[in-house]
Amino acid sequence: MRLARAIPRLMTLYAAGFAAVVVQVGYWQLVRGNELRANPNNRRSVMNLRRGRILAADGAELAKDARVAGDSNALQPRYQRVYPQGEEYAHLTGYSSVKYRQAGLEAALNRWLLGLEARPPEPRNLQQVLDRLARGPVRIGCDVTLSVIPAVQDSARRALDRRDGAIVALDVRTGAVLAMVDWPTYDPNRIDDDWTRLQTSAKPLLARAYQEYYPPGSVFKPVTAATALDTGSAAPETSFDCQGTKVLAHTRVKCFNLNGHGPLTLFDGVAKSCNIVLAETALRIGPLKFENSVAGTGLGEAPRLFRPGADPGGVVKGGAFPRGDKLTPAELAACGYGQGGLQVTPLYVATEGQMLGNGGVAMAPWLVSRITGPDGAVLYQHPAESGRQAFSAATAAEVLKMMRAVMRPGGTAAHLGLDGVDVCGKTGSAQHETGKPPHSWFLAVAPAEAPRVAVAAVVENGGYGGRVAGPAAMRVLRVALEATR
Amino acid sequence: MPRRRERALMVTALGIGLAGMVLVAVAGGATLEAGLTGRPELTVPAIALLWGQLALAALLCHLVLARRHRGADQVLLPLSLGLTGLGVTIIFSLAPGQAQKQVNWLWVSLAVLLLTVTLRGDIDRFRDYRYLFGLLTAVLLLMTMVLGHESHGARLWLKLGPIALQPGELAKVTLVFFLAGYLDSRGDMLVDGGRRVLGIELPDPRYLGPVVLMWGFGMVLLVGLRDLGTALLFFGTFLSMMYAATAQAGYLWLGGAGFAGGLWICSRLFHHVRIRLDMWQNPWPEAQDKGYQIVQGLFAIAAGGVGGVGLGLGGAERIPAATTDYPFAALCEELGLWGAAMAVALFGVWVYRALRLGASHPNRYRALLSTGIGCLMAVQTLVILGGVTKLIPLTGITLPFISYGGSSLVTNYLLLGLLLRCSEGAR
Ligand SMILES: [Zn+2]
Repeated sequence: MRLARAIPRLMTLYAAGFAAVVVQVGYWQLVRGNELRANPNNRRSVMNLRRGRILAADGAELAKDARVAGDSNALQPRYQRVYPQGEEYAHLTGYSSVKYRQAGLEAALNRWLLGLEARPPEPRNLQQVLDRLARGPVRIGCDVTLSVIPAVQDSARRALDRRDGAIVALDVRTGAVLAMVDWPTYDPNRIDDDWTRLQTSAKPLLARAYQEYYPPGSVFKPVTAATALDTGSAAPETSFDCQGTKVLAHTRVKCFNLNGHGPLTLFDGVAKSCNIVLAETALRIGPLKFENSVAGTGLGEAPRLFRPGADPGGVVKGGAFPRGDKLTPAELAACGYGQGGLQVTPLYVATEGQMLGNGGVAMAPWLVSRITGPDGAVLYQHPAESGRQAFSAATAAEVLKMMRAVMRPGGTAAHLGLDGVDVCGKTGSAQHETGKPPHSWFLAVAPAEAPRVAVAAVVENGGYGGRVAGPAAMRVLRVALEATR
Repeated sequence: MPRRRERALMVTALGIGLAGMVLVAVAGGATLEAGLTGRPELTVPAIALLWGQLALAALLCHLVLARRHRGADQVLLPLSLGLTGLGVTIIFSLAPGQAQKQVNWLWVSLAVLLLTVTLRGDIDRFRDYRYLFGLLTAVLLLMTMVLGHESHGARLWLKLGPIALQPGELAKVTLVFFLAGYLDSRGDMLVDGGRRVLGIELPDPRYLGPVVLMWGFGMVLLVGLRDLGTALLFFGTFLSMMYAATAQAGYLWLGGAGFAGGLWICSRLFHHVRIRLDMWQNPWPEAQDKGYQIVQGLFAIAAGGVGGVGLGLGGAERIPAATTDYPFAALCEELGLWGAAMAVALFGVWVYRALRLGASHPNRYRALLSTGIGCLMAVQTLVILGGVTKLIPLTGITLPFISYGGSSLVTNYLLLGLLLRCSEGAR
């Protein structure tokens, strides 16, 4: 009987098929389970796991999970994300939504906030043991504490005062972000409702502080000066002559002072913000050394602002500038005073102040100081980092002196200052589109003798740097110095 | 009292079903007064009503069989009702409103089952109408192809006024009758003149005609119905039965290779087949679009873990066509690896009972019929479970007894009735 011979083999074949299905289910659940649970397309994670909180340096809640209104299900509660501070911290925390997934820090630290990087808590009583047997380990999100100080953040929000632009304050000694605001922004509590309204040309979802490029203008001049000193291409007392305009590398360079500054040194060139002095200095440095030195400040790299894990969370490179063949003599001259093809983020300008104030050592900016597991164990603590020597300590000290002169009689920001504190500063008025007022920049580092805080401020189309961005930066600087005393 | 074994199994199945439904309701926050906000269907009376109907149906079937068919298989009916109860529980958890509709269809299915087992007459007489069954299979499928209404990218539905039917489901039954009759009369001839190539027994080229014909038919199904699932199901069942009747592995090898080749050619020629294959190989980049269903299904499976999140606590309702195509993913999420393994084991036992009957029945026609039903059930279960777990390309066919849907449920109970009928007179 052929049936009796073939059927056992057929059964074996089917049994192998059924076994393969069960093995495959086990593969998805056990081998790929964690990865699939953390997949951004998986909305279960948003609804059914209690996400960890995001806290400011003083413990204030910036983001937390609350039960969905009307949810009475005790076994599988549903959560929604709440941002008690509304739009003020939107670009620091990002958002987490059922519909639009996560962005910013919420995306970069998704696995921690979901508790997938922490050991699940051990069951304590019979009820919990049974729950674990039936439903697998319970995941509770980890809390993320930021380095941001609410008092400084508040002062930055008020200083920017709903003008398009950004303000970033860094701790000079560590690179910790003390405050970071930008405008326009959005309310992360209402992301689902407001989504279509937010897709405008003003780009409120864009974190200008670390995602937008601006020409730096004169706030870049300290980098050119430091490069000249470091490479020996020029000294503070090297003399130049400004007649208002000058043809350099077959291109006419204009100083903002059309009457000309007359004869002046490199030191005065920075203090009075003379374009011609810095253009000539850049040409003396030469393209190769200039390119190397600027790359050494971290301009071409995306800082890992939300450090744990590999997800950059949307942080872009510090900036872009012409390299290699594109760095023609004319471009080099323009880059020397912060124009031409040079583009930077406000975060980079703050880092520039940080490294000059820290003896030339660049500390990559960071935002996350601590991650704590559901049981209170510290899973991540921002480590002591050694930084990168971008300029020599002597160079940094010399350039700080030039920036101090900016705030003194004869400098471009002589009208600004703080009582009892020696401030180093640099104004910037970056040309970006003919017919529009320049972007207003200011970079401040203080106190001059032992710097603790660097503040960068930019106001789009704000006009003269010393008049618009300058006072805003000084307000933040005063609060930040008090907070870091 | 006869059929003790069936009664004991039935009580077990109903007990598990009751526990399951109570768990779903508790998870949904049901109380004596009213259900959870937004899910008012989940009340204790609603569960009592659903379960009561299942219990009544089981009792009725058991009594009829005990009276009329004492010798019939005692495992298959509790097994099928247990699977249906599991299905109703899952549907109850995914879409509470569909659970009563499914139970309504269960009543229709049981009417068909009881009609099948009680009607007088000899099932063996159907052998003489084998070519009529073959023709009927072709007509049913061609009818769907020409008049069918397209839904979810496949043309499977036939609209008759307010009722939507799937003639493909009935075609499964006629196909088994055709193949059983054909192989009973011609089977021995197909075995002659085989020779061995590379250790595989190959059939005589003269007798490959039916294989080529069925292969062509499968390809027409694939192109005409835009449905890989039906083509795979029919061709797989055909090859399994050819092998069972001839014990020549060559049919499986040649047929399998031929189908894979045809599928490859179709994927070059037809966009919908190519998308199916692409989404099988890598659905992740299209997770929000073409790969949405399969990716969401995998999320549901992964969410379950070993123990499952618990009945009624899953989030599989966001998978498109969850109750018809994806109840298994919901089962994996809510009952975990153990639950999934148990459900697969239940299907395994079902197939085993059917095939055992085929291997041992003294009447060759009935043996072939039982084998055919067993093969059909095995292939259908493997095709959808393999698709949902991404072992093979995903195809939208139902999971027997568990999926929501009238045509499918009625057909499965018709097949069960035929099997019970065949099982009489078995050793
Ligand atoms: Zn000048």
